[in-house]
Amino acid sequence: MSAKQYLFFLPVLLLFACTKVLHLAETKPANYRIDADAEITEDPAIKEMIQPYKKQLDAEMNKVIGEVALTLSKAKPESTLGNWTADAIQQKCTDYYQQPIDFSIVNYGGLRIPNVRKGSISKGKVFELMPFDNMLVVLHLDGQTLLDFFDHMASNGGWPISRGVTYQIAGEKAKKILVNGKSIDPQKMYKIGMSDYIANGGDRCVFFKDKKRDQLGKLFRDALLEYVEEQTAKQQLLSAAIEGRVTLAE
Amino acid sequence: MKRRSFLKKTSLGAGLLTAGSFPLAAFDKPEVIKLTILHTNDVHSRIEAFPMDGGRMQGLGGAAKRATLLEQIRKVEKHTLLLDAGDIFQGTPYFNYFGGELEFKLMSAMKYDVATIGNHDFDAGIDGLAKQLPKAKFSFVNCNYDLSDTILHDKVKPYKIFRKGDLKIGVLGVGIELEGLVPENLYQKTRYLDPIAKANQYAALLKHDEKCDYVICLSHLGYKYKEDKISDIALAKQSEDIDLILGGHTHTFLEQPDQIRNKKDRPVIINQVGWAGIMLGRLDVYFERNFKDKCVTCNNIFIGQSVESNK
Repeated sequence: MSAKQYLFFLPVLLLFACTKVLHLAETKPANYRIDADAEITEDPAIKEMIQPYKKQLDAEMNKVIGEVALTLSKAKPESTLGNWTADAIQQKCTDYYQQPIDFSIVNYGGLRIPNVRKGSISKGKVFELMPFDNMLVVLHLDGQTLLDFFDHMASNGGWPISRGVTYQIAGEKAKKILVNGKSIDPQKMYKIGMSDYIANGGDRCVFFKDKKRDQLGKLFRDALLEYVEEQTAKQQLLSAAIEGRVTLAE
Repeated sequence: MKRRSFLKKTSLGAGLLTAGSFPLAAFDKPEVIKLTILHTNDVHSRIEAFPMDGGRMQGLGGAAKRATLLEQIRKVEKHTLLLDAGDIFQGTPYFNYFGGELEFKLMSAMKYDVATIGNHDFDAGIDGLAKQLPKAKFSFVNCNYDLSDTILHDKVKPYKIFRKGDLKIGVLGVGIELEGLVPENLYQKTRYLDPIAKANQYAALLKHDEKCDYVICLSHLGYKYKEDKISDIALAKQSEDIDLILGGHTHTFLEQPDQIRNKKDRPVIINQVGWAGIMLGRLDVYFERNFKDKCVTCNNIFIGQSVESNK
């Protein structure tokens, strides 16, 4: 055998002698839950990093941004807190959209606190009212879908709606619906302001899912904050009344 | 001359043979390498624990406790990786006020290795995300968003390779379709590409070209859906070279990691740990260094308690 032949066999020998591979042998899960009473201390360096931000944020959240004339409460079928929120959203949607829209709606469950008390209102209170990061959209709806939606609101016991719209709840149905004084024309197109949560089919609004929409690129909460600040700048108190927008049929 | 060279080679070969055969005696105790994978998802700007307000979540989570837990684990484990599956941003006023700056700073301090992008990470716009990136000392991976016409074109890579001891680990990222979920003015010219095709393409590159020992997919697709929509389960079934999917988006608290068979009938593990930093995910992956047809400790199922409370 020549040296050349041995040189050829050598790598083969080496391969048999010491080639090892990695095998994926086993996977053991052990997720941790970070409980309130867990015997685990807070990392002081992390706490220290958070502190200046927390201080600034707490100061910001406690900041008074407006004055509420009377306690605004949440109730069905119509409420002061519901009317106030729906009107604020209608105003801001129109501002952002830069053209008129027919009206705005708010889902009842989307208001997260039972009331906003009379007196000063803090930024933090608006975050409590609307902690979710829903965005505002203008949804384009044909009159027929809109009629179905009014039935949906009625079957839910009444949802907040902006000024200019009235409807009656008769069992699971809505009747005597008037949009700016006129009944809904099933053939006409309407523009409605709302949160993307509802437009995406939230709260069983499945009939909205494939409808044309314009994204306003603004958070629902930011719209409320801006609205309060604008009212305050105009030296206006925040107020709302029960106006017979949503009533129960006799 | 010829003969001398021949003798030299044989003695070298024989020497290696002896050395190579030596571990045969240690067959009962194969060399095992342990990799500890730690992960979070959908932390949603939950910097502090939930406030003690009587709510269902009160006192849960918090970055300061997570950091302590991570340090305790790192003291014991030699090879660790810390990953996040996206939606780092949005959910508390910390994000609204500071734009995600503190989230990235804390994750850097906790030594996160890599994260993927969730839909909410676009909430301050793609510019908002880009602005905070210098504060992140960890990388971002995503392979199914075409970012070439955006400000992130050179900031986000399809994958990243980590070396832990002798181990070579590839981590790739996939994200959810943004249209309809995120306003277009926020994600701008980001183009969504098929996550299955892209994940398979890059997983193959990592496994076969880069010769990674393990491929992790960080996913913000969501665990599973009632409707026919791409999810981690769908991805796992249609994948070939992914070993582990660490998911997010659906805020799923998995009782224990899921195991799905891929196209080659090999197991893919899926884990997701809810949201808000209430949990820290941990998977200990054991590798055995042994001959090709030998694996003493190989056990294709995972065992052990899935959730370990720190009480």
